[in-house]
Amino acid sequence: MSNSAIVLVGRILLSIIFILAGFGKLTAIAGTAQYFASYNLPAPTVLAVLAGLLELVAGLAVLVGFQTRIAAYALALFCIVTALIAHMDWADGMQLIHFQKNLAMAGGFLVLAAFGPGSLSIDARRT
Amino acid sequence: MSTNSTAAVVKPGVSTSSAVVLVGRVFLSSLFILAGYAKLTGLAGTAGWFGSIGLPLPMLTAIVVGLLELFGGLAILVGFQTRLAAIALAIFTLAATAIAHLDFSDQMQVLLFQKNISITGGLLILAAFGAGALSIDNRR
Repeated sequence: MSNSAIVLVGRILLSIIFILAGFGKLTAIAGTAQYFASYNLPAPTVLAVLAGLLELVAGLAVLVGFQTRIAAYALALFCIVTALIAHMDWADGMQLIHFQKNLAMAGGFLVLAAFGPGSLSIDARRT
Repeated sequence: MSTNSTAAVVKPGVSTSSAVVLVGRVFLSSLFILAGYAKLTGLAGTAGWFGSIGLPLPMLTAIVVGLLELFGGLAILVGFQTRLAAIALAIFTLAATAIAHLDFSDQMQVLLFQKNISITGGLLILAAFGAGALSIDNRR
């Protein structure tokens, strides 16, 4: 398998969770807003829409390799922010695992942001 | 094999993007380093857990898995044999996910499954591009 193909597979695997989560949030705004409100987040409905759009759009952008660096930096930041908001109760072992996994996902996005999406991407066709 | 197309994107020498890759490697590897260390320093508990989910030779498997996670993670951290370590941890993560997180009636397992798949993707991208300039691989 060529390097570009490996990067494409990596982008698919890296982005699936965000595409699914974004779609899930946007198709259930009320439930998402309620969930956000339980963390005392302000303007939960607005945040639910923004978080859902960010995950869905940036996830799709990483998938197809469009504006990949911006999308990858945005999702890296998103992983870290959500870990700091929702996974800081480390007395709960599961939260510690989620915190570590979020950090690892952010690491993957940073590597992608630094190197770009490779040749099998929209970004590579446009330059 | 067209490795040149992606390699051409990576400029030699230390740059901002090399530092970003280093931070990415720190984030990507810490999970495995901590998990490997915990398994090796709690072998009896790890072996008991592995036995309870039906893995063969639980003590030997616990040692092998702990060593793979710890040294694979450290290799990515310092950027030594990075491609090999990233591929090894990607395969390990997929295998662990297939063994431990396939009960999709449990919402938490679905989430852990998806996160592991995402981490695997990050490892593959690292394997494809290598560790960048700030690494042992690129000092040699």
